[in-house]
Amino acid sequence: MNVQGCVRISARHADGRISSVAVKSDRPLAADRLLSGRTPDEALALLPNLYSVCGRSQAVVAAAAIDAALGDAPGQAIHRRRERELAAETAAEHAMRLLFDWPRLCGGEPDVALLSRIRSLLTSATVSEASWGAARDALIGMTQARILGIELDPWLEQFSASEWLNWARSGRTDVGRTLAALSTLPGWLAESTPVLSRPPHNLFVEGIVNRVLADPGFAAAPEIDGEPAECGPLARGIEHPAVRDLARHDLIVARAFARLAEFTQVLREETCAGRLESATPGPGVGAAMGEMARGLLVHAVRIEDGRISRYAIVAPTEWNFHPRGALRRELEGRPVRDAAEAQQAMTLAAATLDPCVAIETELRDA
Amino acid sequence: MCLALPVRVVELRDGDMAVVDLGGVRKEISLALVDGVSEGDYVILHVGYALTRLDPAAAERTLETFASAGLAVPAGA
Repeated sequence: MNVQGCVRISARHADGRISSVAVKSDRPLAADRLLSGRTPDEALALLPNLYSVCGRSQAVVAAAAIDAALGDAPGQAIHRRRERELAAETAAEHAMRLLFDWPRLCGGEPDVALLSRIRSLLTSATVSEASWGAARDALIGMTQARILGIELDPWLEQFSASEWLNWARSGRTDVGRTLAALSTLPGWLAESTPVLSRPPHNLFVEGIVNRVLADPGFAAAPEIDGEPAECGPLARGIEHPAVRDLARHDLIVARAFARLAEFTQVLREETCAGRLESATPGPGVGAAMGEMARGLLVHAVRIEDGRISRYAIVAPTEWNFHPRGALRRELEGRPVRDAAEAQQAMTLAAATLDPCVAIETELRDA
Repeated sequence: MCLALPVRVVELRDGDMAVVDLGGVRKEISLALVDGVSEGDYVILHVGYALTRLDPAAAERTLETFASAGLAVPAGA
């Protein structure tokens, strides 16, 4: 098994539609092999460096799960800092998509200088409430000047879906131009996928933690009541009126705007509360769930005689790139004018759902 | 990508650039997205950009952990 790995999407293009969509991931799900047999302290020292794009989120969700297994209750200051870590990495990852990956997909230039300043501010933002507040002020200023080109509050709170689209098409900022370029496919309302965002405690414990502890295969293709679910910025932001309206017309467009909306929303949060929850389903068993950039991250751990005897992670990529999940539904049956547009739809659908590994696409003509 | 594959910085160059060693293959990368990288440090790469800096001890521990879990580290990745 390779350390890296990718999501492979194959499909046919025939009669003006995409069909026979298959989504396969060979992302290594190796948490148990990497962490079993270690002491909790060893695992916590290793974890931040094991994951490349979400190391901080993995580390804080792991720490919360291990605390729960050991029966340790972290103080409120520690819990709040962990939630700030989740919020900061969410914003940093969204900035990476908006300023680096998506412009490259659309033929534009990444804004490396702006991205570097944003990432640097977010790295030092989590130490205290004061440092978070200072970083937010600077980030809101940058966002208004360079990303939105207008004040953040009205953009987030008052714009309708059509006003967001007009803002993007006006070309006021590079990010606007990128979102406009992501919104050029003919609209198509895919079969929707149930959303999964901060699930209720019972569902978290019974439906996810106990399932993955009983069956390691659950982590590769997680389901709720036999159905895949979508997590991430669209799932979390679906109550926002403009996001909800976009989602009634095209989910690729809705996911793209939901990510920018969530980026701006995080910058307005004073406490970052409500992102992290833990549970102790049994003696020596702990679990935690955190809302991170790509969606819901769940860790479950069993500790026996001071060592980890079982470790499982259920991560957002496995929900969103489930073989029957949101990506497949987005593409199967989607009308396209030609093979180039089919290829573009595959690429944009995957990019806006944002897997944590590389994407490979294969399109066959009938 | 997902699990973090550390690569070693073997040379710093002007203009925020550096050379890394990818299983014997040398490649020029950008350091524009990370601060404070020194020769001998390890970095995590994303399409030619270093995203995260790791000190050598942490990186070597990560690589050993992958190896002991039977995870292959691709040459030239």
